[in-house]
This record gives sequence, C-alpha cells and structure tokens, in this order.
Amino acid sequence: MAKYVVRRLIQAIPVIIGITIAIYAIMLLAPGGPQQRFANNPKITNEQREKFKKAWGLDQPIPVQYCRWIGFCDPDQDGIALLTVKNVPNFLPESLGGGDNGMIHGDLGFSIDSGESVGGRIGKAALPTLLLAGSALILWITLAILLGVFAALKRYSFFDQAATVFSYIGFAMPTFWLGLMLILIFGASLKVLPVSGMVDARLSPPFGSDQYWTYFGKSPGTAIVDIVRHLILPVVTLVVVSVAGDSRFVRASMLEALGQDYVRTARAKGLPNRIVTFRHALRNALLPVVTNIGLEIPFLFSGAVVTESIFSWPGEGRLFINSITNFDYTILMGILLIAAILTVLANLLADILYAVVDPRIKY
Amino acid sequence: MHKRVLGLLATSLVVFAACNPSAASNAPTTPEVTAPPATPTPEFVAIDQSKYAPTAGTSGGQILMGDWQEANQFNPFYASQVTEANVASAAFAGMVVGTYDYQFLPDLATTIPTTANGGVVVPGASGDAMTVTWTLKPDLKWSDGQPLTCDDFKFTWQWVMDPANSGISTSGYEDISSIDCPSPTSVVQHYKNVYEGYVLISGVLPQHYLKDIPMADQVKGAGWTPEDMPKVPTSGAFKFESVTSGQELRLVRNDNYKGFKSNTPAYLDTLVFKWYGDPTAMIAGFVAGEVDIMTDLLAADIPTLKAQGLESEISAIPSLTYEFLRPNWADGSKMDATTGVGGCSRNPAVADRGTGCPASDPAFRQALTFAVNKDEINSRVLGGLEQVANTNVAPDAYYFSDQPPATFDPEKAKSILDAAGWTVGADGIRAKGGLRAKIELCSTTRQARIDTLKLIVDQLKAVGIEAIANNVSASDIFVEFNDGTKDTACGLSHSNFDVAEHAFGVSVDPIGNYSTYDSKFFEPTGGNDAQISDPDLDAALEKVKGTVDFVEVKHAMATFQKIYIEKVVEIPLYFRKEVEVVGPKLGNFFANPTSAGPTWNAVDWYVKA
Repeated sequence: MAKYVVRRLIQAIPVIIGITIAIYAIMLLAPGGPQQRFANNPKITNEQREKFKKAWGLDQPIPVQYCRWIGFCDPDQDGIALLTVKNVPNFLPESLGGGDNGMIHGDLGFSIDSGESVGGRIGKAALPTLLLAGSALILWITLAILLGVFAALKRYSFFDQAATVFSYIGFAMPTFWLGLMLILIFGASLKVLPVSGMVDARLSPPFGSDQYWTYFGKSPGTAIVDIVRHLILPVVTLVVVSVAGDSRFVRASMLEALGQDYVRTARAKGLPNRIVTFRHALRNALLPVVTNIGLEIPFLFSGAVVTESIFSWPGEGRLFINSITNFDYTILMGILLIAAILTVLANLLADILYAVVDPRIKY
Repeated sequence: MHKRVLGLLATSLVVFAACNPSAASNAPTTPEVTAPPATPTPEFVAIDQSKYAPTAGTSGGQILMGDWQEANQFNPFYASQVTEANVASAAFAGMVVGTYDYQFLPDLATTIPTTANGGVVVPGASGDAMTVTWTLKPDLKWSDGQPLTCDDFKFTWQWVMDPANSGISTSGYEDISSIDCPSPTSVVQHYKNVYEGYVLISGVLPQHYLKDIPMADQVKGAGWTPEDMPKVPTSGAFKFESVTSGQELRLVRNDNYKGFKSNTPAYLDTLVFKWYGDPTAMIAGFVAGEVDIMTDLLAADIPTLKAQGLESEISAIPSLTYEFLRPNWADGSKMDATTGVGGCSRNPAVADRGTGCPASDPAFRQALTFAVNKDEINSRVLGGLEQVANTNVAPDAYYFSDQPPATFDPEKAKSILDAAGWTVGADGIRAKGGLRAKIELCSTTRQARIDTLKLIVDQLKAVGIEAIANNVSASDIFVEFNDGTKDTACGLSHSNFDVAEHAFGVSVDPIGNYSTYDSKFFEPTGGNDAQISDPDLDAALEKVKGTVDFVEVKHAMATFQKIYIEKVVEIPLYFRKEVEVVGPKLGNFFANPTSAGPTWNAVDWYVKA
C-alpha cells in the first residue's frame, strides 16, 4: 500500500504541472485581463494602464509570467531567470539561496484588488466553506444513503415513487432559483430565518475576526445558535439539489447488490433480514458510493459557488465569483490551483479507501 | 459602474443665478426725466450656494448599509467601484464636498477659492498660469490625532504624480508645477496651465502613514489591505474599525473630524457596510430588517422593490451615467493599416456594403438621430423607468443649455437622407455612390442592450438603413488599445465599429468632455474613439479648459451642446436612475447623483427615535 501511495504521489506531479499550465492558459484565453478594470474609465490613460501592467508583471512575455508564478524564475530579473542573483536555482528553498516567489515556495502572490496575500485570503474563506459544505455534505450523504437504501428495499412502493419524483425535481431545480425562493419565503415573507452572511451584523462582530472570537468566548451558546440559524437556508439549498443524484446512485447500487448470489445465500442461511440488508448488501453497495464521496471532497474547499453568492456566505465560492467580477486573476488562479490539487489528492484518497472497504482490492 | 477617485470629491457646479441683463430697459420712463443708462447686471455663476440644510440629530446608534458589490480598494485614489466611492466618501474628506444639489461646500477648507474672492489668480504669481490658495480650517487632525496640514496636501500631489504610481488619474494634478506651504493651514497650488477643474484637486492622503511605504508596494495594495485599515488615518467623518472580506466593513465615528455643516463629529457611533452577493438577496435582507439602507440598485429593480412593498422607501434620481449611441465619424481615408484607427466596422457582415463608412456622412448621422425613437426604447425595453436624454449634460448642471431636442421624426430622417443623395433601392435599403446604407450596431451582451439594438434595427429599417446588431463581450468592445487588434470585434479603441451603444459616467465637471471629444485625443493618446473632429467643438472645449471664469465655461459649454446635437456627436438615449432604498430609521439622507454618492453627508446621518 505504501508503495502504491508513493507511486501515485509521484504520478501526481506531472498531472499538477499540467493543471498549472491549463489554468494559466485558461486565464490567458479569458477575455480582458486585470487591466480591464479601467475599461470604462476614460480618465485612466493608456500610459497609466501600461504602468499598471508593468507593476504587476503583466507586461512580460507569457512564459516569463508563468515561470514566475510557478516559482522557477526570479521576478527581480528580466526574462526567464532560472537562477537567482546568487546563481542558485530559483526553485530551491530560500534557505538554500533559492527564491521565495511562486507556487513552489507557497507564495501565490497578492490579490490585485485588495493587496492581501492570495494564500491568506483563500485561507480566510476556507473555514466558512468548510462549515457550510461540510454540514451539507454530511447531511446529503446521510440522506442519500437512507433514501437510496429504503427506495431499493421498497422498490416500486409509494415511498420509492415519491423519492424518485423528489429526486427528479431536486436534480432539475436550479440552485439560484431554489435559494432565492427560500430567501423570499423564509426571510422576506415569514421573517423566521436570516437570509445572508454567517452572523447577525447588528449583534455580532464579523465571523472570523479577533473581535468575533472574543465574542464567541463570552457567549458561545448565542454565537453557535446564530451560525446555525444562518446555516439552515444555504444547507437546505445544497442538500435538496445534491441529495437527488446521490440517492439515485445508492438506490441503483443497492438494487444491484440485493440481486447478487451472496445475498440470496445469506437469506438461504436464515440470517435476519436486517443483517442481510445492512451487513451484506449495503456494505457492498457502498463501494461505488465511496468513490463518489471521494470525488466530492474537493467541494469542501471549492464550495458551492452559486449558493454562497446568493446567501452572501463568505467562503471560497463567493470569493471566486467576486474575483471574477473584480478581474482579480491572482485569487482566481489560486483557488483553481488549490481545488485542482485537492481533486487529485481526493482521487488518491478514494482509491485508498476503496481498498480499505473492499478486501478484494490489492495494490 | 466604475467611478473614479476624484469622484470622492467631485460634483457638478450649478447656476445659482442668471439675471436678465435687459430687464432694466423695460422700466417705465417719463418725458421729463432722462432715465439713467441701463446697466446690465453681470451674469453670475455660483458654486458654493448649496441649499443643504440637515436637521439636528441625536448622537449614538448604528446604521447598516447594504450593497451587492463589495469594496476592496480603500485608498480613495484607487477606488474604482460605486461601493468603494461610498466607503471613501464616509471616511475621507477633502478641501470641499460635493453636495446633492450640484454645489460645493468647504469641508477641510475654510472657503472655496475663486477669482472673485482672490483665492484664484490668473495669471498667477512668478510666472504661474494660475495660482490657487486654499486656507485650511485650524487644528485639523487625522483620525489618529496627528495634525492634518498643508504638508499632507503637498505629499498627496507628489504621491499622485510619482512615476512609480500606476492605474490612477493624474488629470489636473499634472497641471500643477509645485505646492507651497507658507503655513500649516495655507496651501498654495502653482499651476503651469489654467485648470478649470481646480476645485476637484482637493483630496488628501496621510503623509505620516504612507511616507515609509515604497510606492512599488503601495500600487500592490501595501498599507491598504483589510488588515491594515484599522490603522489607516482618515480625514473624514468615520474611521475604519474592521474590514472583513466577504462579510462587512465597519466604520466608527472619527471624533477628530467636524462636519462641514454641523461643525460637530458624526452622530452615528457605527456605520456598517454589509456585502450581499446578489441584489435580490439584498432586497430580501432589507425587507427582513438586516440593513437600514441599500444602495447601488437600478431602475430595473424598482418593480421588484414595489412588489416587496417598499414603494414609499425608494429614492430614485437621474444619475450622471447616460446610455448613448456613439456614431463613428471616421471615413476610413486616414485609417492606420496596422491598428485600424481611423477606419470603421470591419465586420464581414457589412463588407458587402461597398467601400466607405456610412456614419462618416454628417447627413447620415443626422438621419440616425431622427430615426431613433428614444421613448419607445424607454417604454418597451426599460419599462418607462429611465429619463430620456437630449445631451450628455445633466439638466441640473450649471453649464446645462436647454437646446432644442432632436426628437423622433422618421419622415425628417428620410428627407435628410434623400437630400444627401442616399437613394432607396429595390429592397428598400438606401445607397449613395455605390455605398449601401448598411451599418454594424455594436454593444455588450447586457439584455437591455440586446433588446435596444433589436428595436433600433427595426427603427432604422423604416427609414431605409440596414443595421446588423452585434452584441459582444465588454472586454472586446472596451478593449484597451495595447491589448486589442484591428480585428477585435467592435473594439472601440481600434475604430472597429459604425455605431456603438454603451454608457459613460460623466464627470460632473465640464472638463471631463475635453479628452473624449477633442480631436487631439485620437487613440492611442486619448479617448476620442469616435474620431470626432470639428473645429468649432474643439474651440469650445479649449475655451472650457483654459478658463476659471465659470460664466465663460457656461457659454462655451452651451456652444458644445449645440454642436453636440446639431452635428450628432452622440445620440444620447437616457440617464440611468440611481436607486436607493432608505428605511424609516435613517435621518438626514440626501440622495446625491454625483460620484460623491449617498454617503456624502454621512456625518449628518442619525438614527431616528
């Protein structure tokens, strides 16, 4: 297993390099650029725009820009400068005389819009996303398994039909529409739930700030209830649109398992139905589900772009949308890169988990 | 949506009084007494006569302000969005403040210098083209208690003009040769050129905070990041308590600032900007009581607001952003083969029209202006919610001239085309000298613009002009000159269009027209992308640029507006509405159409009992 993991990690390196090239190419192909922020402002002269591009290194040839972003080139020298002024390869750690810029050194640059470090800005948005996506993921996977299993056990029953209808409706429902409906019904009309953010801005300091943690320490109960109330609508939105697909997946997998010989054998042995269903059929039915869940793990980071925007949830998804609006390319590239790396790692994790839950799999 | 920095202080000037010089000649006379010769009352334009009169409020409390766009740039000179200008107006003061009624009030200054009060001298001393002397209020302080003096204004000018600075408007600052500080409260600006918009050169940055931060770092945000903001000294009604990206921005009262009208610090303890991700969610948040005021809405949102029962709380005024059709004057004879500048549409869809540029014909442009039905666009596309425009000048600006409008008259359009030799062909489309009356209409992909162009295609067809609507991405049509090519679809900077529809957020000061319409400013050195070239227009704009006599400015701008309509510099469609929704809790809200924005008088806001 250890060898397999090491081999997969080594294989991931060219994949990640390929991803960085793809991300850079996508950003280059996107119309405009960071300087597009001045498009409607005739007071910003072409000279000023050029100075802006120079300040951010956007005047350099594309290979140079990419090389600097990756961290192989020294940004303080012209062209593709692979060696630092000390004649040491730039990609080596700073402690060995190398550079300190670029992805390879953990430096994703600065937000073009706010000047914050990209890593810091993305880091701040991670906890809100983890809270929202994590809550939703746990809830929807639990619900999907329950719905899928019972729909399979009660095949063609009223429950199964109802679950099917619910699945199709949920699957077809646009996230933004459902979110807005929930906001209008429970926020604007009934006024029973908050419609935006993580905390009540009239009562609480902003989530994540130093003042917030002081406030949290003094009134943890109030703070937790406040966050839970703010979580309800976005979590419901995510669960409704996501549970549908997974529950159908579990149902199909469970039906397949229930039709297998080993299940028939278990029944023939006189095992109780509960044992047959949950110990024999369900464990095997969940094998493909594990892969699916593994692939959903990056969602814990990348968040639900639309849901976070509608509910003004200060996570990665909203940051991503804001960065598009503000032509903040450095943040966009940082989010895309981290999400891509997490996807590669999540795939690896899913494969490992697969081996753990299925003893037949050997690496 | 972008409003630029100077915007923080910029507003328009207004005609306060214009007396009729011939009035005295109507006085009754008697044969026995010889009437004294009538002395015409000199025309007078005032810029500091605002009617602003806030009510006295009570101290304390907080107001939450919702916006669906988040502020990320906090240096007021780099602010580029409406919401960033709103934050800047609440936190940073300048020499003057632009009022809701297009006037100025002294803010950090004691008075507004003019030629009449001796504050502006033309020509100035020691070879200056102009010398402007500002006097600061005594004992001004930054929010951190440091003195705010002339040195800060001198530093600000140097900061703007620093060669390492970037992405900033230097307009006006580049006309200053030096600034002297004979005393901490006296700011003497020496201009090498007469600059009509000198009142707008009034922003200030804290020297003691910024002097040690290298400019190369500042242009990348150093000193102004969200973490930095609580320690950034402010000059206005509020200072920063916290900036939490993705959530809110919290301002608290700056006790070192005294209001321009009340002469006391702000009433509110706290002003919170809460960021929403979507306008509809913001409206629901307002209804749910999450915020007390919401801004940055459009006329198109009004039906939604009414449906939510907010009709009585809507504030909707015409903004300084106008939507217009921009005909390309170039005839292609001087087209640069490499860049395309000086040409017109190169879209293959119009290639079969023959050689030439139909919109370069003055008669063709005149026909366009009579063929376009603005009222129909407003009623059918915009629900009748916008204010139809006649020129690019806001009707409340002091230099507005009430010229006869070019109203919808398709028969007149036809007769103009007939007279100019555009004859109707067998298919109903006109042609002249082998050039078919076929044009490309360019715009962005906003739905209202798609719908507008569709209507205009039909309206033009009715007078014998074939139009092809081409809605492209904003990054194409507004492509920066150095980023685009002559083939960039609809690229304005490369003259790849016949007629374009887009919007301008006009400067409140008339000098903003100079670089857009004067023939000196063709690409790549300026923003006259429509290749407008008219000696009379240039002369009027040169006049505006070269004087600080506001009566002369007003007359020159009247000439400009006359030419603007007669020669069809543009076909203005409508002024967009600036919409805010203000809850009953907020006192002293005065909607401000200028780029000073709704928070221009946040110092006077209070929580009603």
